[in-house]
Amino acid sequence: MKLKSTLAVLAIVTSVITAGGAQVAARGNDGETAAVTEEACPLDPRAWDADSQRARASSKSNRWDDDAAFGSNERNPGAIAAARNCTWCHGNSAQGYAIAPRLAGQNRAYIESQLMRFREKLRNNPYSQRYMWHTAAKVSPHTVAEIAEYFATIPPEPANNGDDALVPAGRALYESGLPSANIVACSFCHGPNAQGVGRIPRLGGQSYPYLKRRLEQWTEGYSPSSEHMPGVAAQLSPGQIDALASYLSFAK
Amino acid sequence: MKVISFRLAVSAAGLALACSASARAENGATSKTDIQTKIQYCKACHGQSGQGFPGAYPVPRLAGQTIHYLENKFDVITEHRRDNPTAKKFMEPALGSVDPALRRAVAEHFNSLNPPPVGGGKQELMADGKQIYMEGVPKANVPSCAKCHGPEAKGSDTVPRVAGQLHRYTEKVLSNWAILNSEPAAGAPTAAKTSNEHSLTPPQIAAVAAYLGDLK
Repeated sequence: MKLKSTLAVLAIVTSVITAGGAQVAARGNDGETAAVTEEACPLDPRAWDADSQRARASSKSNRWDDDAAFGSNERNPGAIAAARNCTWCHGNSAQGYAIAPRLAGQNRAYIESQLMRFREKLRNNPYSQRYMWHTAAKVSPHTVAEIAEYFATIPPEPANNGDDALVPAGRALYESGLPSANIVACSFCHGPNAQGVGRIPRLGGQSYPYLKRRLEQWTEGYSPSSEHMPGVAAQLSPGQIDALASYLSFAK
Repeated sequence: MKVISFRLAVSAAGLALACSASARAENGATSKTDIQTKIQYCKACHGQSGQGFPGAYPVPRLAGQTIHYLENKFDVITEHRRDNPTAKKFMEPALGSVDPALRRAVAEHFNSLNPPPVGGGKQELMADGKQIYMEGVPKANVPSCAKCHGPEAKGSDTVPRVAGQLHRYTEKVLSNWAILNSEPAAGAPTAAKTSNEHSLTPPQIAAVAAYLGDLK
């Protein structure tokens, strides 16, 4: 009995240390500046079709989209692709973990567009480069759509990990902006409940450190081909970024 | 050579700055950077080329809009005469933050832009939309839109451009007039106002909006 419980404790401690270690490694040196490109976003539907056909034709060389290697996955192919490739970092329930954001309940078109942007190396901040470029490198548009559909239908849970003292200030900024400081109202595009629409992401309940980092990245010059966000983020002070990210982490 | 103390230099510089700032205000001259900052603020929602943006709310196209209309909107909105809740909540504070001396320059800037339309309206509505726009709906006493807004929907000195406007935005405006009885400019379409004999039906509004949304 004692041996079993000792082993159990040891297992837990090991996994905590490993997870903690992974977190530390993940937070590593993100001081590199990526080369920033001005390419237009190549979301040409015709390229997608050709791509999808190519992927299916050479399914052995594409470990993603491949009934041959992993057996038939007719039922819920999105869930299977996600389980094999995404949940390691984004969590079994897709609610996010450490630096990997929550994907549950995210808008389909946004997940699709971001996977394609990782694949085309347009989303170029250090974490994206390190973790998402190779991950998205071989994904076909067909699988992207299935994965996006899968995540979009999982009910999101709010992270609730911001600073709650900053919530009122964050809410005011989110809902109304601050015209005298040239800060636009986020709610105008992201919606009154931060639910987003179409390719505009849901922000409500997303993790506070993730949102904060994204806002900071745009002020650091990453991903300039996001048409709106760099200009919007440029107007925000660090305190305002903190308040917004805090408020949003609680918003349902 | 006299040695000027650091403190003296700093306060002299500060005084010079303060003087020049107030001189700017007195002369009514506006600095270019102020205009650029304000225009960037507008563009954060209205698009880097003023083409509009389909967000949670449809942000309207400003590009190519007539200067008269844009200047008029500054007045109408900051004087609380535009009743719809979206305008009141978002545009009143936004426009209120623009120094009146900058308004003309902002309007001129957006008037000069000419990006392609955002589009996205349903293709199957285009033919009907064009017909309604050009000919009106005679049996409902709805006049032709083209008569005032022009055959290319680019407006005139006194009538706004509607070509390339976001279709969701056009739908909202046309529907709002029926619901809110808020103020279109004098002489604006009676077609859109509430009246069983004179109004466009929602499907007709959708068709016209879709058609206009694709116009260059």
